Amino acid sequence: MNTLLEVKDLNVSFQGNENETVNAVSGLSFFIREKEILALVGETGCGKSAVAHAVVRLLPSESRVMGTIKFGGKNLLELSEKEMSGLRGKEISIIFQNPSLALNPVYSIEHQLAEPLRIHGQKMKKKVKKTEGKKENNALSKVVKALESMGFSNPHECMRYYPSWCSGGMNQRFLIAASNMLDPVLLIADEPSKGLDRSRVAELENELKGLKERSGTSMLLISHDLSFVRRLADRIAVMYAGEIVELAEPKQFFEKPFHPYALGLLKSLPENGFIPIPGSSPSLSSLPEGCRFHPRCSFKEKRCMQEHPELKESKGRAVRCFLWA
Amino acid sequence: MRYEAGATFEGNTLKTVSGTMREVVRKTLRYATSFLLIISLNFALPRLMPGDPVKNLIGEDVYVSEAVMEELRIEMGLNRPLYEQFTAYIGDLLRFNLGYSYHLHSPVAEVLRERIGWTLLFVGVSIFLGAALGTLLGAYAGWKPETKANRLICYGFIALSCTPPYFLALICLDIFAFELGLFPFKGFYDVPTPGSVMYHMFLPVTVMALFSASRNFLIMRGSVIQEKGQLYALYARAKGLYDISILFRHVIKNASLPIITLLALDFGFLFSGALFTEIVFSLNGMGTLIYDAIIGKDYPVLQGSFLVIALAVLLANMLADLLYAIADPRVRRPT
Repeated sequence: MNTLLEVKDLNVSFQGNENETVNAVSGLSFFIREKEILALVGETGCGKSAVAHAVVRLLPSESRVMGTIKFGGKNLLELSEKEMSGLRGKEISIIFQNPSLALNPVYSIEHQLAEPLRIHGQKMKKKVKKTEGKKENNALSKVVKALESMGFSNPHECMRYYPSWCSGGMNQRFLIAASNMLDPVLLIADEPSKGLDRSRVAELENELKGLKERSGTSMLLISHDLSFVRRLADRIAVMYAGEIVELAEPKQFFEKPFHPYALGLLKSLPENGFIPIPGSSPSLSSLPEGCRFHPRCSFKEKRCMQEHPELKESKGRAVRCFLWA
Repeated sequence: MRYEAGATFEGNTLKTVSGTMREVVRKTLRYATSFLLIISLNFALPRLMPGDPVKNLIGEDVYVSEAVMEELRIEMGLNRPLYEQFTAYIGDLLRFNLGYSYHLHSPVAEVLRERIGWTLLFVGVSIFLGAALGTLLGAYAGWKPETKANRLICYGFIALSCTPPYFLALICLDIFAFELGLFPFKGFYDVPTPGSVMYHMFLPVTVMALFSASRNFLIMRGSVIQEKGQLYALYARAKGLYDISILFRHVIKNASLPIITLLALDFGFLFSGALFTEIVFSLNGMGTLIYDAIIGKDYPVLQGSFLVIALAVLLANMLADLLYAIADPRVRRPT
């Protein structure tokens, strides 16, 4: 299968307080194939969301982004803001972490769901003015369809709602529907299961799976919920302190994780004994020398404290550890 | 699995309908109470003031003999018990009878009707222009606060908002009317044709509109700066909008909500502010009427003006309440 998105040597840094530099992401490389779901997992603050926002170029202007992000043959980092806005919402969509805040409180659900159609349909509108009335109907039926596919049995009523009238779970669905209005080629989902109860997570899973099958959408799925990721992802990338430490298929990963951090993550799951990883992740403004995980690693050797390990690849699997040979 | 999204509401439909009704009743009651309080105060004030109520009601500067005073006392019903006086007063109000001005030799209601039109025109146009200018410039200044032009405009409006309108009026009058002779420095006592009205109104409206704009500008600027950092603005960008279209399509509606409240407040504020500006420009409105009434101790006119202004402010607040519920779904409940 063809590669859809290729990220190479991505570095994201922010200017922190007192002139210190926060390296949110360093030297990150990965790719996503067509119709593939790549999951990015890791602790809070390891740079997952920074990657998501860097790909759609939604990071604040004071951040520094370097490297290349190739999408459909174009380097996204070299596009102008106008060219980028032509891609956003149409070919690359993003679902934010906090759905109730991502929806505009003063516009109805219908207005917000139909908006991507209005934004990206403008050029067509000028050419065919006569069919405008018909177009509105088209937009309406598309909104109804999108709501139905998100599991709402009363779409016409839902359209009149406002975000503040709805629960977080409902808003989550509205947001997913809005992001998928134009069948994007790539969907970036930033913690879509956050704040949902178990039964809703299962529904969300089905919806994302359905989306992949129906529209062939590739996904960059960002989550810290390992069991959610296990059932959805084609490949899993584990991030720690701004870099990928292990990349594997779910089966390999859950059966035999290699990196000590990945091992620790799995052990911390309730079904595996609920054993937490000792210590806490390092501050992104003062990273430890050598391997970034060594202060918390129980397998560390002398070399781990001095040299920074590279990501080594073999047989579709990659690990950043000296102990993996 | 399918589920009913509206389940949360549907079970409560009856409750929410009665909830909305209760809200309407509660608001109506609140405004009715304020209204009652205003007219009661208006009734009580001349009777509570030191001195003879007859003198207080006809005005101190009117000279009348003792015999006429007694005649008036009986005519006004001031010799009757208080509750009878109050019901008579309410009855008079319902017939739009606000008393008689012995200074102007005319019923107060008629005097007010003549004058209030000019003030409403003056204040209305000023508020409208001020709101339009202030919100638009404020929105743009908040969207790009770092540019030099926007900073300069911001300093200008801060200075304006700190200047009392009558002072600004005096300066404008001095420069444009006395020095340059571009505009008249007296109100219109000739036949009010549209051209003449515009010619006479230009300076006072400019002063009041600028003052009103400065308040709107500062609120809107701060509001936009706050709202553009919200997640929905970023999501608007993620949908494919860019630059100024995010401001106009998403941020501005949220940011202008405080303006609705400000407009209602402005209405009362400008009414009182207009008083001084009207005096400076000798406009034939409520301001000069009240001023003359104070100087001449013409209490019936003052009482009538007080009632009318209080009612106008009350109405403006009611309108703002209503507008707010329409504009912001968060204060409205699903029906």
